[in-house]
Amino acid sequence: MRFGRFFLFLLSILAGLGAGVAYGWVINPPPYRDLAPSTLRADYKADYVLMVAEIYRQDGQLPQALRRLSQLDASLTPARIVAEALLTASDLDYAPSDLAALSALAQAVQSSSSGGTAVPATQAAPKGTP
Amino acid sequence: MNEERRGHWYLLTGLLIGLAAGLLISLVISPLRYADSDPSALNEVAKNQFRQLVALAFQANGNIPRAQGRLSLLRDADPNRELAAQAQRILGEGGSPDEARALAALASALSGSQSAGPVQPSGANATPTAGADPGQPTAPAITLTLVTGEAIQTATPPRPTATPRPTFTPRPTATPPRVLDAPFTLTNQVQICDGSLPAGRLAVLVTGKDGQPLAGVPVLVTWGEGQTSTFYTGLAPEISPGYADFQMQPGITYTLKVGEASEAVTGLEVPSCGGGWRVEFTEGGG
Repeated sequence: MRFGRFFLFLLSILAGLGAGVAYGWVINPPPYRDLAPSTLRADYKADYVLMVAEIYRQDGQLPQALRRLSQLDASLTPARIVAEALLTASDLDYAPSDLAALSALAQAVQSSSSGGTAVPATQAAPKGTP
Repeated sequence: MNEERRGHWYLLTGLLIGLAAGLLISLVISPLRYADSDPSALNEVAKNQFRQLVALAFQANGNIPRAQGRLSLLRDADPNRELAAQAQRILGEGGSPDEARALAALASALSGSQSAGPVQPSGANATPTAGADPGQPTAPAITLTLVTGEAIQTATPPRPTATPRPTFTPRPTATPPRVLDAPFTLTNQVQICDGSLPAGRLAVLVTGKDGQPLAGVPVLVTWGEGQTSTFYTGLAPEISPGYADFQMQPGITYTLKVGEASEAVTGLEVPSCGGGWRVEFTEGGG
């Protein structure tokens, strides 16, 4: 009898636990807004980095480029951000000129940081021709 | 007998304990977090940064369809107005004039291209495919992936975007940078008393050598003891890309200068008829 009550007690705890978790995760989740750039999908991040690369190609201002990259995701090094963008851009078959812009930014970021994340050399060169 | 007398309150107790623990987990310890979001879900600061990047990238590559496609990702109701408002905010907060100018130039370029017909479909599914033809929409729907503390409820693979293979599109020739020190000549200065301008409104219209409105031209207004205000044409593209305005206060005399090397227009005051001023400048003289 005592075991039965204990079992039911555990069961009621589990039911409450499930209800509480369901409330926070399913019934009333946080609104889908006010998100940080770091939550962007990989292809949007790649385009974000491409914009930084396009601006850098125009003005050559590396500190500005680094600041913009850190706005995308402060938890990653700029070299890592550009490397991931290069991989995504390569996967998505970006145009060679865009890959070249990303590569140029990657090299500049790489040279500015000592011991940063290595940029995959295979992604550094645009592949294919128009 | 004793147990039966205690009833079933222990079930309610267990339920409440579990509920409290579940709420603690789902709201505090491991709240739901989103991943693989799209730019329209960004916070306002990030959206402003995104707009700024789009404008600066447009300044660098001169590619209007690409800029349009990128802006459409923010799903602003009126992208041009947002660009203009952001430029105004930057100037008002003493930010970089170059960044404000880039935003104004993009707003102006977009208003020009929109009058010729939209190029990029707007909406959530317009994924930025920089490598592909920027005018082409890309396939795939944006699906959310919900992330909780340790467990990720992955509804979609991380990169569901099936981007069309790029066919290299020649980039449009970049717009030559504006010659900001070009002399601007006063070609018209008239009081407007027919009610078409609000009281005290100083409306400035700048045109280029070809007679087309010029965006991104700085306008400097000075008054009093060294008080100044700088703003740019093109922040109200719905009126004209070469338009800018300033609100004068009664009893104050203003001096207006357009660009770096124009003649100054002095003695501007709120007209006695209660209307405003319309002042027109042309690049290089009339």
